[in-house]
Amino acid sequence: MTDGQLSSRYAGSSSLVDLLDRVIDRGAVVNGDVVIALEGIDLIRLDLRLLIVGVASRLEQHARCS
Amino acid sequence: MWAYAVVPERTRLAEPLRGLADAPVQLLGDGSHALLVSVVASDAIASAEDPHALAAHAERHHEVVRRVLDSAPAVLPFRLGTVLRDDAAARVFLERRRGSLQRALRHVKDRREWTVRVDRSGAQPRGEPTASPPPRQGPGAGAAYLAARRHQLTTAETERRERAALLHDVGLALHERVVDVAVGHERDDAVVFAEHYLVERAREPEFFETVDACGDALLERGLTLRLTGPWPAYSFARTSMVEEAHD
Repeated sequence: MTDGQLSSRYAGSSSLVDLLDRVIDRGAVVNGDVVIALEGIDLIRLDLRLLIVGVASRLEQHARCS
Repeated sequence: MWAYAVVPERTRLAEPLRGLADAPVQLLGDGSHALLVSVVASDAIASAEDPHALAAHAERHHEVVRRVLDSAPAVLPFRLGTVLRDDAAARVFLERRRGSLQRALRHVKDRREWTVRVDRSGAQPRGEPTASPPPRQGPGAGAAYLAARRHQLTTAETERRERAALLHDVGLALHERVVDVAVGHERDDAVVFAEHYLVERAREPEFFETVDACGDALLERGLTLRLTGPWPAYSFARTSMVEEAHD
């Protein structure tokens, strides 16, 4: 009657890159006449590095302010 | 109207949520399913050319989806950037995809996504051919050098094959514990294995046990396993949400 294991020893926190990659590159993709997708999002997928650089500096700003 | 995800109609938010541009998150249902949305002014939606704002959107979008995962048995997250014109458009959207949405939600119900990556940042890998053996002078030096070099390369090759076999076995072992697998696409060359798994919540203990066993075996070979999650099922939401034929 042991408790189920709550996590793995190898569990770790995820990186911002991981999060961004997931949200920008995965998730349900829908189209159709009622849907307006964010323009240029496909370009971002190809250029994730630009986004990562942008995010990193934004985080640094946050860290300085808080 | 920014859309975050589709959830079953019965979903109730445990707490009021704020989404993009701090707009409240609402549920918009059609009797079968509900869309999680926020009404946002179009100029508040970042253009894809503004990485800072877009990154903020991404984090907020994910935060909303993640929180709802606690209130809903099934969450089908949208990719960033799904925008609907208004209420009416949202209802039409739901109506025309009812069948696909039903199937898609069923696939992720009571299941969570976990990601396993393996990289080479562990202990020094053994047997990698680094520098060539120093060539010696004198008779037989050439042959000795070549023999030593061949030995180095053979050892390295053997290591590589054993590593590949181990990774293969890790994949097989993990696949037994999950209901679906999506291959990860990594930009980092040091990552030698990356897969996303859809795991039944009730079966997570066994999954973790297997992850631990794999992690231990990999560590002996200088490879590091990292598990991240739980995630909303982004990698398993890619079912084609086609519009069904109108009557």
